[in-house]
Amino acid sequence: MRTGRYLGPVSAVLFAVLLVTGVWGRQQPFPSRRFSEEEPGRPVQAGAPQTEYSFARVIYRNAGGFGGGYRGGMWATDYPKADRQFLMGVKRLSLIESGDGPVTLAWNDPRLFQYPILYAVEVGHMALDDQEAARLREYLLRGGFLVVDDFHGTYEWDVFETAIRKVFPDRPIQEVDISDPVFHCFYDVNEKIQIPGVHYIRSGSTSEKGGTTPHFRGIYDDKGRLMVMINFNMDLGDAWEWADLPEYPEKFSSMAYRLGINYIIYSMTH
Amino acid sequence: MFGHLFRFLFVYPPVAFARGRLSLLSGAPRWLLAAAVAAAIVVPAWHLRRRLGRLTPRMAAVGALQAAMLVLLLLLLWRPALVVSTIVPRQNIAVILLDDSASMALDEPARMEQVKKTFAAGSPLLARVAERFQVRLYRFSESAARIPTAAALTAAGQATCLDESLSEALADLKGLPLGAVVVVSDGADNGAAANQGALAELKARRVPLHAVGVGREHFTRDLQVDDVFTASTVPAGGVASASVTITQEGYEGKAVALEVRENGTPIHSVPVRFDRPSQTVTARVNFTPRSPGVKEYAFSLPVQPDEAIARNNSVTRVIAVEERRSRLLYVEGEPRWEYKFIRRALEDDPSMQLTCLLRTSANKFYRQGVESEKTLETGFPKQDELFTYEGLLLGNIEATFFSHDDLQAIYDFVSRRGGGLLLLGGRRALADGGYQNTLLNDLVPVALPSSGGPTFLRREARPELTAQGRDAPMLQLAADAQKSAARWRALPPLGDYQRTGEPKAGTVVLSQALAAGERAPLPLLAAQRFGRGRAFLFATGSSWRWRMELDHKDDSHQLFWRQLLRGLISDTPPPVRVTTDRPLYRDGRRVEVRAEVRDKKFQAVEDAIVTAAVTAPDGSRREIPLEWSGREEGLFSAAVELGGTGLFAVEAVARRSGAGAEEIGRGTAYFQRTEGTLEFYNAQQNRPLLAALAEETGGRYYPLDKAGNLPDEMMYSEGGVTEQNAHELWHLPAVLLLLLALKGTEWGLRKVWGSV
Repeated sequence: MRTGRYLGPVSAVLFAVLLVTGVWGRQQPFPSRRFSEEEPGRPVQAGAPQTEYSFARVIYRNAGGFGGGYRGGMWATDYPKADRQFLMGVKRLSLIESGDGPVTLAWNDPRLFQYPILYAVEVGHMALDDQEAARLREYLLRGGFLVVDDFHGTYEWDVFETAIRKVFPDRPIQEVDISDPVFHCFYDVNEKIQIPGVHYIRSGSTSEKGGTTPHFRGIYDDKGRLMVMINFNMDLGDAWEWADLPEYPEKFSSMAYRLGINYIIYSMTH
Repeated sequence: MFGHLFRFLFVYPPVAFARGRLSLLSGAPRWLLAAAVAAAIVVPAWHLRRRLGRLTPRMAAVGALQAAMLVLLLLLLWRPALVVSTIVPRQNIAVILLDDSASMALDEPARMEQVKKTFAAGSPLLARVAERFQVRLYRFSESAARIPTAAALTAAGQATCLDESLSEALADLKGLPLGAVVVVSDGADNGAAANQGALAELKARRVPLHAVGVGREHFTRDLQVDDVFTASTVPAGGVASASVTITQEGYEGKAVALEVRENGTPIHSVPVRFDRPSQTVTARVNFTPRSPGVKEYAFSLPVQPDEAIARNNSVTRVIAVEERRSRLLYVEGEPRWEYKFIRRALEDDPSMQLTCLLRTSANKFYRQGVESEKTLETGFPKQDELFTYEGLLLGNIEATFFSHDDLQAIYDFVSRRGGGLLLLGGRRALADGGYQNTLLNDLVPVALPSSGGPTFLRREARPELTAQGRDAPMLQLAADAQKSAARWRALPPLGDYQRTGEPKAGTVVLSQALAAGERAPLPLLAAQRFGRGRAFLFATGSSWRWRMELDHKDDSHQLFWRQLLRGLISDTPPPVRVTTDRPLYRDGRRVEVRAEVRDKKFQAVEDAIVTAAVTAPDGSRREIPLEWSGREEGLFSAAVELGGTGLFAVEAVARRSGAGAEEIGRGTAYFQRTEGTLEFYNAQQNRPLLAALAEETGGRYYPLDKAGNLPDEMMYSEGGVTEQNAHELWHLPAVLLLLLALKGTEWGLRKVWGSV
């Protein structure tokens, strides 16, 4: 009788704990909370840009229908610490005028076209419907630039490719040659190294989910200018986010900053 | 009527009074006359006042009338006379110049026939002139030639060069007593800019020129393309602009199509509407040449069935469509979207090459559009390299980035080299960049505030064209003006703007920014000429919104930037610039070739040896040396007489004097020559010109049908063999009438007032 009396509340608490830890585990490949990470809070929705460059993060729907919206979406991975730490580097290392924090935009946001460079993370879980794909296509053809990051292995590639093929069914996805201006417009990047997520500290491996080879792929416009910069089998976001962590190798963070700043400068010059 | 009344009252014609002087023939001293006049006024007034104690107004009026009569009688006692010079009959020559140009065949009956009739041998007018003068008749058009009678006129002359013709006639009469000159013409003078040498000679010899006007002063119905103003060169792929001046009479409420033909093929047309019975309008036409090369463009109005002259409905111009790439330098102080999208806008433009120097960090520059590794290797170029560009864009970069020498080089780039400078808005630009404290402040088309906080604001603003902007060819976003205006209205708002002060004197504001929170529209796009060049201001850094916020197929942003930058450098001169005094010579043979010669530093070269080669349409070539013009440093010129019709090319080569004769530079210009067309433009009787000619020399203007008084008035001349005649005036009917009027008025007043 007494047991039965507490069974309902206990079950509810257990379910809630399981749910929270389950979601947490899904968002964070590294299981421990030993490292300090900012709580996402309510994302800052993009208003009129107040600086030349804004870290504009795309809110997308998760493939399979789960997640999306402001909470629970894969789009929010590393948000907002990675964005903020990256912005610190942008301000310190270049003359790009930028703010302190990121903004977020959905594909249908009316201000999407006021942000000519977008960042999308975990695109191995991204889904696009026809309307969203058409809007992204228009954005890119007008001169917008999309950087995608933090997806690994064959499965996640397939998910991303399915989504991006809705945008450009026929444009080839090409390996970006190391001689491309995107690797030299600010920093000279002469070597393609795999930038791992924070799991590297425990596992010692730079790869995840079988994605052992780093790929810098791109989709070009008709004049040979990159429209989409695809960082595959890599996690620049983690490298920015954990740049302040002594255990995370500096060379990966440095390279991630170099690449990130190069992407912005490329998008502002080409 | 007035003439007859004047002759009745004053016996002598008005010209006698105009040319003569009044004198007193009596030998009595004039002081005596003055004393008598004073006494006639003062003594009666003094006497009356003494007797009556005061003067009433009525007494004063009657007294004044009596005094006036007394004065008039005293004057007549001293024998007033008009002293005037008149020619001695039959001792002088009268030259009558009869217009024999093609325009004299116009009107119904033809102007020439009217002249032939009036000046026929034995005609009353000519007979009366012949009683007083030895008459010599000349026909004139491009030149003058003596003719026995007016019957020799043919109206075949292809131009009317009045001054030159008059000079020739005067030269023919050198040393002979010339008493008067009569020019019978429609006044459609279209000779080379007259130096008025003949008129000056007439004035010096005191010979009056009388003008007899022939023909209608206005046509009932006519369309005429007066003139076309357009650049002589256009970059391949660029938009050419022309301002076409049209005069119409009698087509109120009608709309016609102004057509542009390239080498005979129609390529564009714009509607022109007339809203007054008689007016001159300017139509602006923007068109894109179809391919590179030297092309003839005809600007034509359709011939109307009822118009007076059909052959004045078209004007041609030659435009060299050049494949040359103009070089522009863009210096940007930090990475930004404006930079990217300006570069993209010019990417496919074959006429412009944009070389960019972008500062990406405090110590890093990114160069784009460079021709070699050496280009801009050391940063902002030194003067010699800077002068190789035609345009310079300064983006979001503070003034302190530049050294004093850099600033001086930019200043000289505009003022001396004649380049175009475009200053963009930005947080480090204009007043926020401290330019108001540098010598570049003179170049900025607006006043820059020196205090009051940041002027660059990230707030939305709508662009709006001013009236001048709507007319500016470089701001047309469509061939049709209405469509262009609609595209401007459809542009998304800018994301930022920069506050500036008032436009400077001479600045043209082409576009304004309308922003919430601002009391008045702010200058957005403004331009001014400075020295040999020009400076533009575009006070924003977010025109890229016109690219990102419009459909990817919309080319408004691209068109705006291409045309703006072409406009910026359209007048940037090369070191050697060749021009002619006209783009089109209608029947004229005298062509003035000019060459403006500057060295690599764009300093005027004074000791150059300049030779021009004129290539005629038949391929023949003629070399002419150009001499220093004496008007301006580095300006060389020469006049050459040319025949033939069609397209002529003139290439001038400038070399250093002395051993080696190093070439400084060369340039080419094109012009056209036509024959048999000039007389059909501005063919109405030009009465103001004829009247002004007559007035300047002391003669008179007469319409042809009122030339009856001409022989009498020709007598009054100070030129030739003359005699001075004194005509007494006491017997003039006007004097008698005045005496009667004075006495009659006095009598009338006394009658009305009773005893005074």
